[in-house]
Amino acid sequence: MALRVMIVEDEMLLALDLEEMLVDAGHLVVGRAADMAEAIRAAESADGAVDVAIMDMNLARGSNGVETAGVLRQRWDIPCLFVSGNLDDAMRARAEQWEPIGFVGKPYSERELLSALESTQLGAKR
Amino acid sequence: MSQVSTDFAAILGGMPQPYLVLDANLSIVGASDSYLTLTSRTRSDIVGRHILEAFPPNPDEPGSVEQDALAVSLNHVLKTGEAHEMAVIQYDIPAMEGGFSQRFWTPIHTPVIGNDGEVAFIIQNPMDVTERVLKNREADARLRVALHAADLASWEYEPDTDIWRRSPAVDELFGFNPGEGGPVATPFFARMHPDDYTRVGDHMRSKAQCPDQTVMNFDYRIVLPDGAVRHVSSRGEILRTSSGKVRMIGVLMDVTADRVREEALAQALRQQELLLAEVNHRVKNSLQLVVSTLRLQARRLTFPITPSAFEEAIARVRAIISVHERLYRSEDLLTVDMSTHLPKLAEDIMAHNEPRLSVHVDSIGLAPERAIPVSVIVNELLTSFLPRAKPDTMFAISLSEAAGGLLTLTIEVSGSLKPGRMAELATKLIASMVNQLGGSFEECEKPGVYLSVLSFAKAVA
Repeated sequence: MALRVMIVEDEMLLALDLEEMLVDAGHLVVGRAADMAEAIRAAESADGAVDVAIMDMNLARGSNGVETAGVLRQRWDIPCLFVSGNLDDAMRARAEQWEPIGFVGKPYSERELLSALESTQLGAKR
Repeated sequence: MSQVSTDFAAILGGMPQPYLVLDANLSIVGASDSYLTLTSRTRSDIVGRHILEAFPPNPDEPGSVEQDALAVSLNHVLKTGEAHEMAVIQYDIPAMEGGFSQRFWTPIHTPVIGNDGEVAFIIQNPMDVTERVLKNREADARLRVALHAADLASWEYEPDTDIWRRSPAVDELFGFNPGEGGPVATPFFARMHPDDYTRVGDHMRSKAQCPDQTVMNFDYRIVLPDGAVRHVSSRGEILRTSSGKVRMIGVLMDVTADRVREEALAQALRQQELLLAEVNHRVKNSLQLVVSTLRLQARRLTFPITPSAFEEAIARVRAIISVHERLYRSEDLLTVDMSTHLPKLAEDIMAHNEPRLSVHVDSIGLAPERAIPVSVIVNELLTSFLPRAKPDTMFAISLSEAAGGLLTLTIEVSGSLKPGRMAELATKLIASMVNQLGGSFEECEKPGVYLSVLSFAKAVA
């Protein structure tokens, strides 16, 4: 099943790779953002029709992936798949409150990321 | 029974030991002959006078008559109605031939309770210990030398009276000028750090219950009048008087330098830990960039795969990871020294060709998240033009900093070029990196010259 995916990542190279990876796997990229403000704008312009957001924990201009995940979950009920290079317990605990579909550590493989996404289909959007 | 009036004054006068009797105002009411002999005074000389007036300080030698400590002891007896035995004090006595004669005492003050239950008189038994003290001089001198050599200050404290006898070094440690501190500990304890005061007080009170020679160790901070903090370490022992009163005796050591060093070490360790976490994060991020770069390229591979496709991939990976070779620490941040990084990167890219290359980079430190996009852009531009170079082709790269932290990267390729155009991935990567830097990128190609200019802010907005 094709998913409508938003990419929230401040590393443009990774965003580029993610986009191609998702498109190749048959998903639809419905938004790209490098920080919280851009993510909110992207969700607004998609009218919340996003199945999952791939969320980097550390975003551009000091904004925070966990907080951004909170806004997406509360306003549009968009779940996140967190991606991070340094995931400590405290950070994970804070992220858990937004019921993410999972966590993927950097560097991740294509298989890792796509199979983590697949689990979204199970808890599909109400 | 016959009426015999007992002459108590005569009895006091005839007492075989030296005794001085004071009233509740600390005025002298009588003394034994033995006392008068001992102090070279006559009865008429002293009776009716306040003790501190009858035995005045020596104006020529401050500190040789410890009136303050004596007064504290007498007032303590008045207040508590209990006898008090003083530690050795120096109390020089005016000599008949003029001047003062040096004397040491351990006075015992015993109260006489009147009918109203209040202290009516105090009997002083002065206990002349001059001979003993002078005999011990050599030992005392040795002790002083040892204390001095070890940079120790010595003290003696009596909780009951708060009498605080100490070497001048203690006053110095607490920031008191000579003579400023007074005979009791209160002004000293007032300079103890508030966070330590209760702890030290509790420690002293609990140790006061322990038997003689119990060791007491405690560290605390002194807040000096100018706000500076001094760390001291106190080592002492319980030593009771013959009447069982608790006295503490010990030494004080300035350990500020040690504490400051420990604090600096701990701080350095915390910074190291933070730095390690930061480095880890950077490395993982860069590895992810490498993986993503290779994947981007892999999706564009066509068969058969040529060596040049591999070389392209290697160059892209190198552009990302080369930043790590030039990472250095400035304060708590990791920075890339661009003036060494960019020339090396350019030379590596050009390695197998021999075009003329000039690189001019100002002394600029960039955060790795800025240095990597710049490196990727330089790599994409150079590797795109290299195959088009002819023997007379010149490559010029410069990175300069203008006011306001605005950086400009220019890449100029001059001379004749073979025809060609930039690959789709190269164009895409450059556009992405310019976007990530939040910068602007302009390029123009005319016959004989290609020029591109990238402008971006040094720091992330």
